Amino acid sequence: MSRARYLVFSDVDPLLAAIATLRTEGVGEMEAHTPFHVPELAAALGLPSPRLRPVMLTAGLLVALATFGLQYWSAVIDYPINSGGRPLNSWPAFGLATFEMGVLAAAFSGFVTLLISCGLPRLHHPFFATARTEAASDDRFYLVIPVVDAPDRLRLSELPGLVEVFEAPA
Amino acid sequence: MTGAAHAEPVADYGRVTREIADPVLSGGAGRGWWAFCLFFLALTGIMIASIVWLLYRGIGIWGINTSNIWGFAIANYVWWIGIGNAGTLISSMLLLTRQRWRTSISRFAEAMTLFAAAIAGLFPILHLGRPWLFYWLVPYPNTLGLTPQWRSPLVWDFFAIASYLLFSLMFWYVGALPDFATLRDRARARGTRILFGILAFGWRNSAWQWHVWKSYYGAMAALGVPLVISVHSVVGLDFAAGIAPGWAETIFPPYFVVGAMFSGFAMVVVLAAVFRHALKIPDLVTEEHFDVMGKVLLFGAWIMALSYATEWFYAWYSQEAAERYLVAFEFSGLYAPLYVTMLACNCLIPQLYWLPWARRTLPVTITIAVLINVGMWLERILIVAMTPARSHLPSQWSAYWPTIWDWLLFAGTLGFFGLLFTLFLRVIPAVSMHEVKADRRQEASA
Repeated sequence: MSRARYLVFSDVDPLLAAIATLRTEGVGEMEAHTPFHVPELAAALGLPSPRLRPVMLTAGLLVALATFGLQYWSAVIDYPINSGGRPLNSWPAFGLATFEMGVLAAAFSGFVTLLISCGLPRLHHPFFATARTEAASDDRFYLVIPVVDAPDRLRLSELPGLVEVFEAPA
Repeated sequence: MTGAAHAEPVADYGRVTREIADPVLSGGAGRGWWAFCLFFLALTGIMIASIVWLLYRGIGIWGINTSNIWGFAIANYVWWIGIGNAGTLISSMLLLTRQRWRTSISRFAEAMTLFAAAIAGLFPILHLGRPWLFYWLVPYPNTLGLTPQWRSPLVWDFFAIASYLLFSLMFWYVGALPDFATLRDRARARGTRILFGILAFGWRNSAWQWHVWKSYYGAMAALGVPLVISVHSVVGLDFAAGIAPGWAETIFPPYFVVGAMFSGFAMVVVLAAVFRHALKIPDLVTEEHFDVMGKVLLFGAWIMALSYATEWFYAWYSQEAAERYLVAFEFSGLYAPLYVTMLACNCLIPQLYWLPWARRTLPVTITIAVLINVGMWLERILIVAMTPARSHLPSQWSAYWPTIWDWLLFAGTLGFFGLLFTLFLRVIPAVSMHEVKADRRQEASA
């Protein structure tokens, strides 16, 4: 199992400053853990776009189309009922289920994509190997650098706003 | 936050965690909680008993008759689903418009949505006559070779409620996922560690996970607004798709949507006050919140007044005898006292919200909000009861009065709603911790 240095910060700004500093020093692979969503991190760490919304759009449109198709097929082809002389293809009435199913499919496909791209569910992960990472969901901000890549502890300890550095599996 | 904390440049994230997570994780529940829990449990028992009796005897135990075929079942359905709409409204619309005050009330508003929509879904099923065949609404391959009647509002209802319920569940769960991780990391007892460990799904708060999370959450918020509007429009179409006087109006879908937001917001005010008191979080749910929600309700009251006035105008302008008679019946007939009470609760009394004092004094705000909920409930029951009572054919005229079983089932569902909320308070952080922290960061850097 590879090991990594965990840099713990007390707030967002020192974390972002440290990422910028380490970047200029040639540290490539970094991962951050924060108690809440920090919009600046995506650009700072060079994260790719999640490609989640195209999946949602596609799934939503496909299921909407299929739902309309099912209604058309059953009301026009499979079992046509003349109800007060109304057109068999009552598309305004069919639109409701079509819309609801489309939205539901978009939501569900997005949920599945979220789980897959986040690698969840995964109850065991090296990040959980030490209790010292527990504050990542509370009030501490973590920067994780593989040991092979990381500058030495002395250099790291000079970073402003650093609370502690420790080594753990990653 | 208190004034002292505001003066500090750095936001105190740890305090947010402590304030919200610790009531969930602390061992003792307190005598008050148990008292409420038992009270609501008793009401839930009544709900179950009245449902069992209904299944055994049939819908004849209700006050419905051959003209008034809907009665309490559909009125309560419309009322509950209306309450269920405000949660998504607060979460989605206020998120999209970046209203920061939403963060501390969105979580329990979403829970309210989920519980209310689930309860709402019960009523149309129970009023079916043979509720155990409700799955016939699902288009599944069967030996009869039949699919549902797609032109039927009942089928639209089924798709609308089912989609809305599942959608709300996913939206709410994904919003709470990072908070489950916080509880997992904070829990010390073995049982809670396992429970929240499973609920958190292995969430690690990594930058990439947050990146994906935000992308999904934003997309869901954008989808939620049209969905919630479509759901209550479908409820309005249940009435408007026919030709009955007082129902066949093009204004019905938007009128129902606004009514739903109105009653839902009123319920949020009531629940926010209860939560603030129960969890002792006056610095998270502040007078500021009640002030803003009071203004929203005031606006809603005017839209409702406009909707009622539009209905009366339509009736007069249509020159249709049945439509005009119905409006006269509203003001002078059998249900006139209830109708006037409804107008007072929905349009007149909320005018008190013009006064900043009324918006910020909790007992006043809550009383008005409860009266709005009463008014909106009266509106639903009157819409359902009056049109069949005085429709086109005088030979079909009738009166609807609920029986004891109508009342017991309604009271039971109120208790069930209360029970779900009491349990929710003990199991799930009632305020979204990660969103409040993100807000605190913005405030600190602003």
